[in-house]
Amino acid sequence: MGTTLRIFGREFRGYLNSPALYIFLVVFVSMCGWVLFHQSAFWTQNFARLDALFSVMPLLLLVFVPAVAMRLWAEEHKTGTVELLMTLPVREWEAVLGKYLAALLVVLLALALTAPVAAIVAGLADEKTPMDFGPVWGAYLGMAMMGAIYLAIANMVSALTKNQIVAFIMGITFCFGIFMVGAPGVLRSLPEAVVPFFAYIGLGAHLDGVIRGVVDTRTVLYTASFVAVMLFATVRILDSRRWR
Amino acid sequence: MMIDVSNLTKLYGSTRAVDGISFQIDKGEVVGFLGPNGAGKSTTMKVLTCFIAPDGGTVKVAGHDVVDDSIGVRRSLGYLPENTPLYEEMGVVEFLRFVAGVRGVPSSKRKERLDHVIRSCGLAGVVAKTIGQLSRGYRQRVGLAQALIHDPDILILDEPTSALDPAQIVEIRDLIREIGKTKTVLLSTHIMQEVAATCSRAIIISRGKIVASGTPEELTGQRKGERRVRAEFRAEPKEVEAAARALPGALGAEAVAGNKGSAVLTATFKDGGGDPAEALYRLARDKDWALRELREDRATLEEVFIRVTKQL
Repeated sequence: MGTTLRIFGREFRGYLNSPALYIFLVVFVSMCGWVLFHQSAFWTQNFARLDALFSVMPLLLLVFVPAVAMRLWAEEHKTGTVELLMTLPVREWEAVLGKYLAALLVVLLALALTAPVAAIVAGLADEKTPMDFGPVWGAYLGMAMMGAIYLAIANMVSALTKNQIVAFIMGITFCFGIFMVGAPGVLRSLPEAVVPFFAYIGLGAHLDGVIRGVVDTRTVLYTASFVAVMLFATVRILDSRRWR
Repeated sequence: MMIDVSNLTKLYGSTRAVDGISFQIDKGEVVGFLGPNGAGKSTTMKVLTCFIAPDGGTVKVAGHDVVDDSIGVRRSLGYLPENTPLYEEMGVVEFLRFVAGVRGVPSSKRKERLDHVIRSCGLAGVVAKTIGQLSRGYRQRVGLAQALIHDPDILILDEPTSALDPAQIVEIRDLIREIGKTKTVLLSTHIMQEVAATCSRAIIISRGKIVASGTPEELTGQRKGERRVRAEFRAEPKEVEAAARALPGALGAEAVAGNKGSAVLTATFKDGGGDPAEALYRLARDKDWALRELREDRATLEEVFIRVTKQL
């Protein structure tokens, strides 16, 4: 565990030292505010609600998370530091987990930075109908789970290439795939036998409930197992590079 | 036996980058790994350090197998990869602390080890800098410092002096020699003087195979206690040969006809019995042969290198 923590620490400090991260954060947070206050019916409805924000945030995460994750392995392969890292007494899973957790903290940080938007909305509510924070917490939890899943995919993709831009675009593509695969329109076009499988794999069905404020153990289990499978795949990809 | 490589093979696609090489390195040896570019030096080192896996053969480092116990192998060695990859955005000290931590240097010793490598690698002037700001020479020293920070028994250095200026090269060679007194060092290079200056033994590889191996003296064909001299006289080769054989301390002599009626003599003398070159000069004076050339004959490592790597 000590090794994982050290790799986590190094990676997270690496993020804090990179100017790109601050640009991504500013863009992400301002997009969130812009969507809510300019692009939705926020001002005409009579409720202090964040629905519009949380319906768009999955799409913002779809771009933001691969942008955060693209450097994780692609940069190590590009600069050759992977040779330094993997010849230290570090097990592959320790390196993968440490890096994943560092990037996850960045994603959670980005979500936390949108809190002022929620606070402004809460402040706008009149005293008789204050904002209901229950669904807001639920929605944030759902976003965090979605971020964790996207990140696990984008992290794996980053291990496949030396090129960060390729990692970024492939990350978006794969995340979008998993976002779409459970959508009703897609399911309708699939052979009936595979529908339950795709419905389960797909992100939407699991997170809709959470975003509405309902958290059940199945969703937690889905997220945890999805992330675990992706991290395991990343370990295998890194291991296979040794045999090339 | 610190490093035991037996029949190692590594393929890149259908290319045999390393083709069944075997060698052993004992504790306390400093071994130079020589070869033209693309000979398989770096590939062998990458296998030894568990960065890539062998396709055939067995490789043991400090008794640990690189496939079955790669963590054990990696714990026992320090490695400077080719081209010195480093985390550019990290500070020098921050980076060395990170490696020390992952390498499991106990926190009570960390400060001491850090101070030690900063001193011995000459990094005191750049401790406040970020690695990305450093010149290539300093980057290489940082790479060396991270390989040394946990005081490993085995050091594997892929071209440790390639980016250094002459003064730095001398410093780093001294450092490697110093380390070599107690540790096992395998370093790759294509600078021949480096082998002569730092290594107790050299292994020359070409196209994935070992083509020569031995001490620098053995490789240059000079046995200990012998001196070889080359001389050219205007005289009959047979006469020169016989006269040279009769000189005190002579172990052997051979003369062939050179151009313009001269004889080119190559003679071996016992070391420590007076200067063979002086003896040959006196011979020429006594016999009244014109002396056209006289020098100690020493096949340079460069010549050996070019000869053995061309063979295949």
